[in-house]
Amino acid sequence: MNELIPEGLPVLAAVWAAVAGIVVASGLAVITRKNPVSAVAWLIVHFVGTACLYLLLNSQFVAAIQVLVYAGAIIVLFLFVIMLLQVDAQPSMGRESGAGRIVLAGVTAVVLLTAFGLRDLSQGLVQVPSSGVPVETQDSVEWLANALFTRHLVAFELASIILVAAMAGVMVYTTRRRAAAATAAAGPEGGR
Amino acid sequence: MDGLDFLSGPTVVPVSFSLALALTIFCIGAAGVLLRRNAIIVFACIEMMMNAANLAFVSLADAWGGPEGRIFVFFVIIVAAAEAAIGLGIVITLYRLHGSIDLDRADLMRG
Repeated sequence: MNELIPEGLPVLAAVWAAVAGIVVASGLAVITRKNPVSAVAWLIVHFVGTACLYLLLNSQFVAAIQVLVYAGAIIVLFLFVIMLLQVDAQPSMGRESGAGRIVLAGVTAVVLLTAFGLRDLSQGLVQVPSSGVPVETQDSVEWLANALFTRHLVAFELASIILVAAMAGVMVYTTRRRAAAATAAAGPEGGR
Repeated sequence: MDGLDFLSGPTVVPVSFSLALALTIFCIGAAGVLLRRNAIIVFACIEMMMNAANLAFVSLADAWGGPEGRIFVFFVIIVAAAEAAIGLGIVITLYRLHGSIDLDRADLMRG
């Protein structure tokens, strides 16, 4: 075990192990909590833990975006939708654990682990060539922005189109449903 | 950035460890999608699986040292935000139609 970890980094490796444990445990909590609100609360822990892993992997910008977008915006959206819906309309855990599904999930996990993970791990460490960029510049936002706004500018503009299209689409299909329901309630046929 | 200098160094753990962790998180998310019937929790699990993919991207980007892996994560997060907005809109529409967000009862397209 010791020879796998580079010299001089045992403390950070221990921090990584602790955060990895927190991330896995909070992920398990998300899929086992009955109450959706507590599941989403554990999802916050999961996302913030992942942001800490990004910090340990020299990616400060990605960590900041992770906290802002995932742990901020998306979690607020989840909690807002939970608040909007009635709690008694949400299925509880008790009715939703058939033995067949557990077997299916276990088989899927085993297949995925075998196919992708254990093969690489058993053959030793994954070897990745180095790009030659100094480690000191890898955490600078300027370095990322230089690549993002030159080589990847088209993708960046397309991403803004995706965001606008998603926003417009959600507005269309949520408000049209409400108008149709109002018409159906007012009409002689009534609602479905 | 001086306060974060202790973080600027070579990879903290071997990249295999990060990939194994990403794989574990992905499997947890996949199990959640298969096991749960609450649409909101299924969505949370989908986000978790995307998160695992991001972690794999970032760990390989850290091992390689180029900007592309991190930029790709940036785009994945954009798509995840759009997907969350659309998905939760679908959940609300489903609730209006059925009065429930139990995915097993969502059988509108059954013939």
